[in-house]
Amino acid sequence: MHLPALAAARQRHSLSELLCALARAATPVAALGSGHGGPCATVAPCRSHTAAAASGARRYAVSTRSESVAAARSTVDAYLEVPGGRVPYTPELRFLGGPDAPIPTMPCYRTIDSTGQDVPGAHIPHPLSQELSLRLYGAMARLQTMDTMFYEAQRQGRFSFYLTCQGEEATNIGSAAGLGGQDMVFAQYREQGVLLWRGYTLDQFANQLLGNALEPGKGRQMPIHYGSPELAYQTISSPLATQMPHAVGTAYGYKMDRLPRVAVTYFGDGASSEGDAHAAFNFAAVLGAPCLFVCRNNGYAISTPAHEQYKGDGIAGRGPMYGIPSIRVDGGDVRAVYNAVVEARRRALGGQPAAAAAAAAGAAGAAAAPGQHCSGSGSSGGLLTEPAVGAVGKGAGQGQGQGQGQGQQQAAEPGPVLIECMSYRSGHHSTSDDSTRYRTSEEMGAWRARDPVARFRSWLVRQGWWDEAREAELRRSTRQEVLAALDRAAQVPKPPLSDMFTDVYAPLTAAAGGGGATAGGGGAGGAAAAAGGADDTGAGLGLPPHLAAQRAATLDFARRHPAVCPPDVPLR
Amino acid sequence: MLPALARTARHHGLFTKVGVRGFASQVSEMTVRDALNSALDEELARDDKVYVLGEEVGEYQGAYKITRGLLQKYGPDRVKDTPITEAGFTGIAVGSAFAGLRPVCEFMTWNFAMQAIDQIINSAAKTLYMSAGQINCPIVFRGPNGAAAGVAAQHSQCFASWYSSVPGLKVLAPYDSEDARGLMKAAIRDPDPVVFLENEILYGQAFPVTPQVLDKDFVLPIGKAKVMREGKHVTLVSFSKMVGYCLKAAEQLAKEGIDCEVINLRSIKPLDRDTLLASVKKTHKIISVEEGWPQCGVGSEISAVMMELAFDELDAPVLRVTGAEVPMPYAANLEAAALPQIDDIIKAVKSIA
Repeated sequence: MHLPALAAARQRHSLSELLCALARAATPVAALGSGHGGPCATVAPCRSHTAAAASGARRYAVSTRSESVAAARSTVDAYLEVPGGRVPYTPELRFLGGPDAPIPTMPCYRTIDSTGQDVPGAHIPHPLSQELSLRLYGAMARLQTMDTMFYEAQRQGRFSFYLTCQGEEATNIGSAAGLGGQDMVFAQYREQGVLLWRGYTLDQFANQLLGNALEPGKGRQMPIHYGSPELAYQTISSPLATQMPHAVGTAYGYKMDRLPRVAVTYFGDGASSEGDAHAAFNFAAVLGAPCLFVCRNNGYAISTPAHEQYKGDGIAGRGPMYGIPSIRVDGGDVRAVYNAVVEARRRALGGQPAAAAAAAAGAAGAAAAPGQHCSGSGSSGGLLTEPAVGAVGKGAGQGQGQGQGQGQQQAAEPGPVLIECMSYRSGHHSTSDDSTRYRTSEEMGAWRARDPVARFRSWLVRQGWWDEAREAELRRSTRQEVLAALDRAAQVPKPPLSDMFTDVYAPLTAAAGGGGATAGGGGAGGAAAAAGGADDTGAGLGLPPHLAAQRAATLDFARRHPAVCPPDVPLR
Repeated sequence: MLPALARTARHHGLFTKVGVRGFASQVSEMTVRDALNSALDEELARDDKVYVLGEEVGEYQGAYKITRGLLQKYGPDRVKDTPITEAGFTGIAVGSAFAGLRPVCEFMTWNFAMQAIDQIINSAAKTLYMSAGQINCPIVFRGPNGAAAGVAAQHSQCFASWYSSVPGLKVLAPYDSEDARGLMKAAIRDPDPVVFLENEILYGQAFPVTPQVLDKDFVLPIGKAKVMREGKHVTLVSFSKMVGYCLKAAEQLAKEGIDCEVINLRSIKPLDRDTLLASVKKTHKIISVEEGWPQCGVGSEISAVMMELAFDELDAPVLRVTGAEVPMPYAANLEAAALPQIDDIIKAVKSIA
């Protein structure tokens, strides 16, 4: 008998408290891991446990030895309570998952089939208006043409490196269109379409590729490593998957600041193998960070095909195991990607009911400014505070077949969402790769035929919204614009040598170091008011002394040996 | 007259924060642990963008109790216990710094930070430069560095020289409680990523602190070394625990008429060349003392700088007293033989004095 517990329980007043005391007494600490699963009292959810959990103290209440021994002798035993939660018992010895008992493959959400026809009965909470459709298609076509031409320009030696997102135009553009304009993007390197959608100009692309004096990156980064704080696009970082924990941290910051924003990170099937990916998934779920994970599963990581990258159910299959709501999407269907991202964003912020989002999407689709997000769910503020109490399930009626679950959604805690976009990397990994060495031209040809841009064009044509003449004109004018941008960028001189030592550290100011009792540090700090960079030491730039000295030495050397310094690199 | 005197004294930097009564004589003692804890506490109170994260920093009160009491005081939003993934929580901290928070990211020891070194260097250190000044990373990475006692190879490495070679990082190494308070506050208030190298053995050691040091805005300048003891025969330059060894060596040598100047670097990057040069101009002999390995250590940088900038001032080669070039052994005798002892410093001084 659970004597100590009963004695204590007699002092309590309610039946539930008595049951609770019994449950606590019965919790088989000693039986943990014993395999015998000592029986313990079955209870309805224990109020004091619930209360403890609600107060945030999720620490395990350890019972005494006598209580646990007593527990091992009691008769009913339904759950194992451990610090990770409550786990039901089973008498079956059964292994789940793996090659012998695979869990079912997560299906792939799609609304437009490969011939450009609507999939009957598809759930489309955010149908595409004509205007939005034309914007989406225009961006995808521009992206495709831009990629082709920049790739060719690299081949001609105009700059050192390029990579295309051919085959993934729908993933890029569809996801970008579903985000808020200030949702910070932590991309991998194959998401130039997101930048394009948000308003990065062809001139800006060309300037970055050529590393000239006009590019805001000051020629610091190799090609395709774009960055734009104005467009909320983090500067690309080469090591794979390091951007994933960054996104989680930023999302956490947004949550702390109560901003109605998500952080979004893109990564490939290969990058998902990195340790950082695991940490980011796990952590985002633990922290409840409003972070969107968008995996571009394009089938290859340079030469490594996906079936050699993982043995489980892709990347979407991992999400639920981390506690992350996850979906697999046909990455070649721009409408499916768009809808998935809009809904994912909503959920990440705490689950506003579908009605408000759908209505706003319809309205916003007509009035969106270039580069701005179209769906309303981003622009209405305070998503972390209160859900809009809208009509339930009224997204129905628009588009074919509306699911019933949508409207009943309550507000939830913010948290991560995972979207895996399945597509195919039609191009080579980059200009440094020749993929015919590891895949057949038949395979590549088959996928080219399923080009997402062509697929959406078919769909547009079926709606009566596009035709060959407009197609030809769009392609022609884009080609002209890209060529012109490259030519303009080539005329611009390179960044001056005098900029080489800035931005290693934040500029020293007189206020640096805080209002301390002792004087501030580096010598260059006090000269903040002087003309910026007028002399070789860069007085006024706020450089620390050791860098100021190196800057002066470098400029002096360059002046004394002009033959060594390339003619298109100005000194200042 | 007395108020005027006090004002004049303050103006000349004497007895700062002293009222007319003059309580500069009030000196209390504080352990380095408490110094770090109080600095963190005050900075958490001062700026709500500051937060602490790491393994065991919250409920457990910190693996070395540096964060004791902070979870209780500031709650789980400001003091976060993380899952065990250095790469993960460092990356998250860096991402949150990109977004404008000011994380203090604790490593249980700097040895484990090697699992996150890509985030520290490729993300935190380089991003301001790569983004051409557009993305700041105001983060502090902190934890115990160097040898402890009997924890062997994978818990005893000194990382001062590795991190100090990276442009974009600032690298600080406090010795006493005054250093701990002033440098921690400076690091948290600094807009750049700071690597903050503490020492486990020093955590429990108490040092005198003045009311000035206890002021909640007491901040030491980054990039400035401190002359702990003036002398005229030879300069001993060091950081962290070895500063204490140098001071003890100097005491013993003084009895034999050899007068050592002891410099506490405080900041490994930027290195305070001016203070070193001024000292060498006086003593003409300089010895660098560090626990870490000899090849490419901090002493190598000091040697190069002294040779380049003070060649004509030197009356003897720059000497380096360093740890032995082995992964740290466990047995107590081997460990003692692998680390600089006070006698080693004394021998080095006598060889050139």
